[in-house]
Amino acid sequence: MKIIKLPLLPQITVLLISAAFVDSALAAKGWGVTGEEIARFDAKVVDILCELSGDCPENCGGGKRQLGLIDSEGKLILVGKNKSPFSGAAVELLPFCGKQVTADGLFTENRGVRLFALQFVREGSDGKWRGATRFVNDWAERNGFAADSAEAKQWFRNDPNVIRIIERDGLLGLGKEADKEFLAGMGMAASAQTASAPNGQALFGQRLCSTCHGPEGKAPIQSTYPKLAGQNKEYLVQQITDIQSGARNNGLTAVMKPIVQKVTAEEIEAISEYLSSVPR
Amino acid sequence: MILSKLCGAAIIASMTVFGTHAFAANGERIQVTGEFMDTWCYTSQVMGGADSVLGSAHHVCAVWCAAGGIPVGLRTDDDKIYMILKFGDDDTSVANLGVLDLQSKSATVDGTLYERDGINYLLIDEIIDDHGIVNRTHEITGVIPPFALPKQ
Repeated sequence: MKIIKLPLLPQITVLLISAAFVDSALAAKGWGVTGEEIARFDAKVVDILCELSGDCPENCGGGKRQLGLIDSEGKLILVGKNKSPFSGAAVELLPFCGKQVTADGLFTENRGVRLFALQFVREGSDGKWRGATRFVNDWAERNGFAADSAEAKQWFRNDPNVIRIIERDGLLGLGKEADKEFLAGMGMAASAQTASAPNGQALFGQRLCSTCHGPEGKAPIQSTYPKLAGQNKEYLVQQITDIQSGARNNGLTAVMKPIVQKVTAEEIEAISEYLSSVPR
Repeated sequence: MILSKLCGAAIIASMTVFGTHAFAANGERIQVTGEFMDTWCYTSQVMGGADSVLGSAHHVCAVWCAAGGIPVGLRTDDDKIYMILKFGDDDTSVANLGVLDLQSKSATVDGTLYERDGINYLLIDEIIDDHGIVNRTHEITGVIPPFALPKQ
């Protein structure tokens, strides 16, 4: 295993994962996000509010506070994200409150703000690695669902606080009337859009395919998501169509189904054509 | 001499109580106006540029992310972001219900600022003025991500 200091990360010791690295299966993956840098480093888990103000409850606040990492040079790192959809990292780090860990994930930096997205963590430098995916189980337990239930997989649609706020303020946050007006207008826009020929490359971004499968379908955000670049067009059309119709409903199709639901057959053709033309 | 011994004892006691946090910095009192926003989508640009991840276009996703415990920020018009660590007397910064209610809204707040290693952290004492959602980004981009819309 080779240890280097990257010029852009003077405060963090980044471990390059070499071919000889025994934990390579658990190494963090790039997500294709702005300013990302994959990093693995040793650090201490801290309660950020405690660190800043000296207000330090037991056990880092028991899960209600944002947690951070203090690296070997004393720099405080805000850990903003875990490996699950739409969720943060406090629940992932809480078992390690006050302890030394090795954190594996990626930094993203934009407009002067640098956050760390935790993908794996272990206690000390030789503890057992665990994926930063504890949030969904924790949510399911708190809300009375099985961890593998459809409700837990789409926890963000089933969270009682989310439901309460959307029910009260609408999808736009501007009230139910604004939603009605917007949705009615959207129907018209959708009709107008079908008049022009679809652009597969543009649609790949607009339909949020790139959000999970990465730019050009080359760098999925999770190792369980497929790379799509260079895939056969016919295969892609078949898979998307099957997921859309429900003919295919295994694996991670529950995540993809709502995304492809409104994609037209013509757009599926265009996206598939584009992806098949991208070099692997 | 006695005073100096007492001071020394007080410092040692303080270090015992606060451990390594004995030297936590004092914050700075500020008033600031900005939008309560989703810091992950904004900084990572995972769903596109600023118009896609602020305001009404991103309201549902901003609520999802805040409910999931992603840090909520207050973003000013000059693009400065303050990570919110406290809301009134409530030191909850993971899915704080008061902050969830303010997602995507613009407000003027009074609080205490700490700056550490390039990040601004804000402990909000009081909402001075809630301006509601002023950033009507859905008129530019529609809803982002589109799967935040209900199935039809």
